[in-house]
Parts: sequence; C-alpha cells; structure tokens
Amino acid sequence: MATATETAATDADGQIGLASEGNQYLTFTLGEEQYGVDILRVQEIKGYAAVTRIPNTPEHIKGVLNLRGTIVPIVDLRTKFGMERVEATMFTVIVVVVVRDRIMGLVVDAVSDVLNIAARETQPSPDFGSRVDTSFIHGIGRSGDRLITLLDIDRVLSLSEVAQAEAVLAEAGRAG
Amino acid sequence: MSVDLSRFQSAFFEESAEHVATMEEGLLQLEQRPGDLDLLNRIFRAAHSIKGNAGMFGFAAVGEFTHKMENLLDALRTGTRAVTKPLIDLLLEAADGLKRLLEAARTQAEPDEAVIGPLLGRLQACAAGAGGGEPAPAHPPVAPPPSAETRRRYRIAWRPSKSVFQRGVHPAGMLRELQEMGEVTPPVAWEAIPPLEVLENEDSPRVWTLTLATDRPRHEIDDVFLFVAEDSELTIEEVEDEVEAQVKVENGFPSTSTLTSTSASGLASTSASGKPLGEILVEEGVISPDVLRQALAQQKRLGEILVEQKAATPQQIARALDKQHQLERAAPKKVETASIRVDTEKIDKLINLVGELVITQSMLSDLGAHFQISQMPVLLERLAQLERNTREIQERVMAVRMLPIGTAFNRFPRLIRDLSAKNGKQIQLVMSGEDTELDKTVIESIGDPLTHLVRNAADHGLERPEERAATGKREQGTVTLNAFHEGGSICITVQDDGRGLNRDRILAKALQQGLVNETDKLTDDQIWPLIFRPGFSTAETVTDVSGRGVGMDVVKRNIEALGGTISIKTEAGRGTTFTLTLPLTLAIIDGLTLRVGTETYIVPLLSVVESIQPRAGAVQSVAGRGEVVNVRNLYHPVLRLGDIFGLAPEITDPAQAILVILESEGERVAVMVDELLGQQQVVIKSLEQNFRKVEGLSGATILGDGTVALILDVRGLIGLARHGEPVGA
Amino acid sequence: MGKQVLIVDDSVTMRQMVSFTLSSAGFEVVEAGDGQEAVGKLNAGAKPHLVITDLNMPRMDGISLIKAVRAMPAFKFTPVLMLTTESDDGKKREGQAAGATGWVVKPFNPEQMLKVIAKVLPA
Repeated sequence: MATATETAATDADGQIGLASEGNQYLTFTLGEEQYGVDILRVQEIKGYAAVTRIPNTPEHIKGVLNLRGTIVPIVDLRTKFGMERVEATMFTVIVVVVVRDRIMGLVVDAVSDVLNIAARETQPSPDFGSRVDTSFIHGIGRSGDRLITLLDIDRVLSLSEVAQAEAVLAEAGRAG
Repeated sequence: MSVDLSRFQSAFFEESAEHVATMEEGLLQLEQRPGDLDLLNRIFRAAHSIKGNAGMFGFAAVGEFTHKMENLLDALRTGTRAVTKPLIDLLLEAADGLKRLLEAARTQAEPDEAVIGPLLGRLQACAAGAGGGEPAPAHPPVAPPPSAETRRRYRIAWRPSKSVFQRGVHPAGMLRELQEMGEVTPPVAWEAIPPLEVLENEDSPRVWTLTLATDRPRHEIDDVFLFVAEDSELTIEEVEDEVEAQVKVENGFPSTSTLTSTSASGLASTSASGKPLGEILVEEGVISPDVLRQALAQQKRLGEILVEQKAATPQQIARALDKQHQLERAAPKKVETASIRVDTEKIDKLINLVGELVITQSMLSDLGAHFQISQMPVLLERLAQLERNTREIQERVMAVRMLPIGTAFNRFPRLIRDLSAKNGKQIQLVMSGEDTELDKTVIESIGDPLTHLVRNAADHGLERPEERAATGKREQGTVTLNAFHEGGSICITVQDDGRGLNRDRILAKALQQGLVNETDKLTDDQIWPLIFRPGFSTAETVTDVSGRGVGMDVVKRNIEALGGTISIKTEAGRGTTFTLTLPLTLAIIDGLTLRVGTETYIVPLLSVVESIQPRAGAVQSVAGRGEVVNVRNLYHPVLRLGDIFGLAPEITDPAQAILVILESEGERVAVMVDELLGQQQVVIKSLEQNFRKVEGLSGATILGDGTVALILDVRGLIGLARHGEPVGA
Repeated sequence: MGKQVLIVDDSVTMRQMVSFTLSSAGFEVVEAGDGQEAVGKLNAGAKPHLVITDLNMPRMDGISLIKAVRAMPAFKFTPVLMLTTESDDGKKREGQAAGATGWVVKPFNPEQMLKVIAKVLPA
C-alpha cells in the first residue's frame, strides 16, 4: 500500500496534480465494480480474519473483530449492496474507516489503488429510480476510462443502523 | 506568551470537593477535641487552599466566602474564639454553602444569594465578635498608571544589605530589569558584579547609583525593587531632564529602545487581545457591569437585523440557525474527562513489573530462536513466569483505579450528626475498614445506596432514647459501617442495634400490596426480601430526612447494576444488618464461558445460580409456546440460546444439553447451551463504542486467542424470555 | 532542557497549574506536596535553579522549608519564591526573614508568575 502522501502528487493518468484540486480516494473492487472512499476516512487496511457474529443484527453486519483491543463492527459491503456472497479469498481485506467518531471495518474483495479524482471528474449519482438505494453514493468518479462509485461513508451505515437504534433500544430498555 | 489555565478547572473542583470533605470531617472531630491545633490547622489549610485556587480561576464568590471562613478559623487558631457547638454548626453550614458556591461556579450558575449572603454575614459577625475583626485589606488598590507615556528620568540609588544577598537576590537580575525598561546611565558594568558568595562576604556595602530614562510608569520601577525594599536603602527620584530625554527619543536609541518596545508590546497584547469591547470598558471603569448587561440585552441578534434589512428571509435564518445547532451538536463535545490521582508508588511498582515482563519476554525470544525439544522444561518454566508477570501487572493496573472506600464513608459522620439532631436520637457512628480499596467507579456509584441504608438505620432502625431505655438498652444507638475483602469481592455492612425488622408489619403491607397471599406460609428469609419490592415502605410517617419516594427497591437495583448483591440479617430487638457484596471492579468480571454451536459466550459468574443437566422430561412445553424446567419444585422459563440468537446449536434435546440457571433482580431463567467451557476472568469491552447496544448482550471481551466473545446480559435475556419473542434472526 | 524549578504546594491543582505554566515556558519542573517531600527531593539530588513554595502545608510548612533550603550549602543562594495570598502580609515578612527571595501573590496569572521568575532567576 502506498501511503496517501506518496501518491498525492501523481494522479491515475500520470499527470501531476495537487491534492487540493480534488479528493483522494482509496479504491477497491466488489465483483466487477470499482468503488472509492475518501482516503481521509480510512484508518487502516487489514487482512481478512474470522469475525464474531452478533445475534439479531442486519445481515450485512458480519460481526465484530478485535482491533488492537477495541471491538469493531464489520460490514459486508457485498451483502449491503445486494450482491451475491462469496467466500473470502487471499485478496479479501477489511478497510477500517472512521464514521461519525466510530470505527468500523468494510469487507471488500480487494483494494486497488489510491486515486486523485478531480472534482470536475465526478458527477452526482444518476437516478436509478426507487429500485436502487443510492443514498450512500456520493457520486460517480472517472479515472481514465474507469468509472468509480464514490461512497458517502457516513451513509453506508445509516443512522438507523447505528446511533438511532441505540436511542430506541435505550428507550425500550427503560420502558421495559 | 499566553498560558491558558482553564483546563485545570476540573482538577480544581475535584480537589475543592476533597478539601470541603476534609473540613467537614475535621469540624466533626474538632467538636470532640476542641483543643486539637493540628486538626484546626488542617481545616484552615483546606479553606486556604480553596481560596488560593479559586482566585486563579476568577471564582471571586468562592474566594470571598473561603476568606471569611478562614478569618473565623484563624480566630479559633489564635484562641480569640472558643470552639462551641453553635460555632461548629455555623462552620458546617458554611461548608454546605461552600459546596453550593462551588457547584454554582462549576455550572456557571448564579450562586444562591439568599443562602450565601446571610452566611457571609454570620461568618463575619462571628469572627468580628471575638475581637479578631477583619484584617484590613493588605494592599490598597494600585493607583491607575499615568496615561502619559512620556519619557522620564529617574535617579536611583540602591544600597542592599547583606540579607538581600543571603536571600538569593542577585543585583544583576534587577539591573537587567532596569536596563530593559529604558536607558541606564552609566552603562552597567556586568563583569564588575561579583557572585553572591563574594557579595555576601564583602565588608563595605556596595551602592549602585544610576539614572534610568524610561517611559514606563513609576510603580514599575518600584516593582523592580519589590523584593528588596525592606532590607535595602533605596531612593528613586525623578530628575527634571525632560527635554534631553525627548530629544533622545527622537534620535531613537538604536539598541535599548528596540528592546523596550518589543517587551512592552508583548505585555500589552497578552492583557487586552481578544477581549470584547464591553469587557474592556468595564475594566477601565468607563461603564459598570450592570450597564454593560443592559446594553447587551438590548442588542439585537444578528438574525433579526438581517431580516429587518431584508438581507435574508426568516426561513433562511431559521435554516441557518438549525444548521448551526446541528454543527454545535456534531462538534466534538467537550467531555468532562474523569481523572484519577495515582500514588507514584503504585506507578513505580508497575514500572518495575513491566521491566520484569520485558526480561521474561526477551528470555522467551532467545529460547524460541534456537529451541530444542530438550529445553521443554525451561520453556514451561518461562511461560509460567510470563503468566505470573502478566497476572501481577493486571492486578497492579487494576489497583491504579482503586480508591479506599473511606472516600464514600466520609459523608456519614455529618449525616449521622444531622439525623441525630432531627430525630431527637442519640446515635453513635462506628466505621471500620475505611482503607479497603475498590474501583473508583464502584465507589462513585455506591454512595447513594449506602446513604439510603444509613438513613434508614438512623430513622427507622434505631429506637428513640426513651424506648431504648425502657427495653434495657443504652440510650445511645449505634450504626456500624464496615468494609472488608472477601474472595474477589468486597463486602460492606450497614448495621444498627435497633429494633429489627417487624415481621408482622412487613407481611401486612405485602398482603395489602398483593405481593403475597394469606395462605402463603413464608419463612423469615422469604419475608425480609419483600422490602426490596418496588413501592414497598413500612415507615409509618415519611420523615423529612429519609424516604422521598426512593425505596429499598432502588437500593437493590443500584447494587445489582454494579454486579453486586444485597442481603439482610435481622433480629427483633437486636437490630438489622444489610450486607452488600460488590465486585472489586467493573472492568473485569469473573465469567463462565459457554458454547452454542460454534459460538462462545460469556456470562457473569455472579448471575449464575447453578448449572444442571436436566433429566429427560424435566423440560416441559407450556401451552405450546414456551418451555419451563422444574428445578427442586421451582419452575424456570427455559431459553434456548441457539433459538433466540439464531445459531445452529449442536444439541437440541434438553436432556443432552446444559441448563445454566441465571438470576437477576430476583428473577430466574434457564439458558440452554451445548457445553460449559470453563471459568475465566474477562475484561469487559464496549460494543457501543463503535457499534450499538444489542439486546441480550452487555458487551464483549477478547479471548486468549485474540477473537471476540460476547458477554450475555442476564437482565436482557430474562426480558427476552418473558416476551418469548426472539427478535428476527 | 531548561532550568529546573522545584514547585512545592499541597494543592495538586496549584501544582499542576504552576507546573504547566513553567513547562510551557521551557522549564523543567520537579514537584513536591509539602516541605518535607521537597527537602527529600533536594537531598536525593534534585538541583533546582529556583524553588517556588506555598506557605500553608502539612508536615513542613513553607517558612520552615525556606529555612531548611537556606541551610543547605548547595542551595544557599538559590532563589526561593513563596506563594502567598493578599492576607498573608505578615507571612511575607516572616518568609523574607527566613530567606525567601520574593513572593508571588495568589491569584496570579501565568504571565505574572513568569515575570516574577524572570526577576529572580539570573539569566
């Protein structure tokens, strides 16, 4: 893995660009598709390891993992995006991101690169109608001839799945 | 340079609370030993420390109040006032007032003048009444500096006495200060100033005579000699030489004036930069604080102005305000960080242990590098050593969080004193085991339950003196608080030698509340716990000191929330003892490890009543819905952990499985699992920190192999069993 | 490493504040909770260039500490500042008689404290 600063000066086309012109994204694959998350939100990338399942949570919450002593929830992005499940391979990794002061891991097929995608190279996510939930897509970026779905990491795990559920549960706990 | 000390505020409040506790405790003892000067000094120091520190944060009201307390305490120290009960009463009341003032300062609220004002008056009157009187303010307010920044010339002659040198004052420092203020003539001959050792032994006193041209006010020159004025001969006179000085300013003194101006601007910026205009105007005496407040109240809000000027619509403003509000909420909140003070001794021990650990580790590395099977015994020995090191470190680290329980006990002497007076009883408080240490969090949480128990003992447990005398008891009743370690737990007992629990009255009340039936044959041990039921209270009159809707049920719930238990022993006419058993710490629990399918769970050992392997047919289905198990003629609901957690258990036949009977708040549930794996201490980790609360789980822990195991929440499981509704898998 | 200052006060808050102020200004700070502890640290090899002490302390108060410091040959001329309050005027004189170099009146702000230190610490 190249660090952000090493790749900051060079974008995918080999041209010199400045980080401030656009955003840097860590890109990864799920099946045939390319996705990107804001590099500033990525804390680390770790190899896939068996997780501990948490009962009675949505399917895409794979479970929790011990990340140097803290318990971190792991989200299976394939399941979250309604893609078929696959067995973990030697490329499967967990991208550890920071979401609203919480740390969580995203299981992805493989990480690809760190790309500098200029703001003018990104478009808002197209409207797929109500069939596809696009609320967690920040936009579509282009790097060379590749299309990259840029994720709004704060929305991948929506409020209803983390913080609010907590409030509701706490309320229920008091009432019970 | 500007140093911000506001970060020390929380330390100040923590320390002040300790000082107030010291005062209270000291005052109560002083009443018994009026002549104890050490005690008096300790109380005085507590007030003095708060006073000195309060000033640092600008808590003027706290400073003034403690100053008045200090005066009265000083009158006691010097013997101009004698220690009497009314005086102790007043000082105790003042300690309460001080607590309020501190709380007001902490929450930035206005102190309650109706309480504080009269107290201040009484303190002052009391101190003055003894003839001690108010010491006059030590210093008259310093006259405002002359505003004209014209350069003046001063002739200074200074002849220090030897004691100046003996106090470590070096003339060079002062001359340097003068030189920094302006131009010194003749120039200082630095090399001619000998070290203090020489100066001290010189026979003829030295005199420094010089002229200083400066634009700084006169009092700053006086300040240079502040520490030596008393043991020096010093003359500072202004000399009429303005014209020459002015010319020199215009010529611009290349070296000295640069020096002067930089330091002057540096000072100015620290005093005035970043202050609102109003504050500066108040400081300079242009307007009074009241005028400023009124003016500020009249000031329109930015939003209103923009709307009036049609620069924005009210909707836009509302949206923006909404956003601002959100941002404020989203901004990292300034969390009041809890801090803990640790004896350096504890830390030193820890460091030593870590040193040992490092040695063990390097020995193991060496061994591993060229390991041969013949070295197996050595390996095992080293591993045992590693385990020892680890365990010791764990214990020591936990000890860092440990505080003596005395910090929770120290409020009781005061409480008992107040309760004695209010109830017209004579009560003696005996405390022991105050040094017993337990986790800070536990100590903070048991204060209220303990207070309730102590109040109950004093209010209801102990009889009135005449009643005691009539039954041949000493008129003075005793409440005993004791703390001691027992196994991995700490026991706290609250004992009274009063009348004991009244079996008939409890039964009557329980019948009235429908908690028991007339036909029930209840043993004593079944009757006493009834007082822990919600809404249960046998006090015939609710006294003003206890009760107020908080019952024993809350006490029990609080204790159980800490992972503890409470039990009662009582004997008619002899008294009652409540025993609280608490874990030493909340961060580590003794856990029972269970397996269901491939998953491992931990359940707190404290909640485990027993584990059984049921006989065939012992588990029966009820109305086709739930299952129950009969254990010694008591039916417990059965919870198949595999079902409610959506797991694939290895065993589905109860007769092959293990039932773990768990209890919380008096309710029981039998949890069915595949296997018990063993007992171990586990460190509790939060699931909520990065995820959220999950029903039926209280947290997680990390097992020896680095994997995560979930900790069962017994209370939650009982809830699940009661509703019988597994939440969708 | 800057010059070493020994701060003696039974109030942890005060020690922390002084300590923070001084270390922000580049001093190395050694702390003691009362006079006895301070003397212990001096005997154990602490070599402060300056001692700042509170007056009201348990076990050994500030005045006794100042006398003790002056009696140690190594610290005969080490500047000693006492922390006083406005009402301690008599104490100031007592402290000076015992050998205190100067005083800082509480409450003080960090700038005032550093100014006083600059006054007594030889450059």
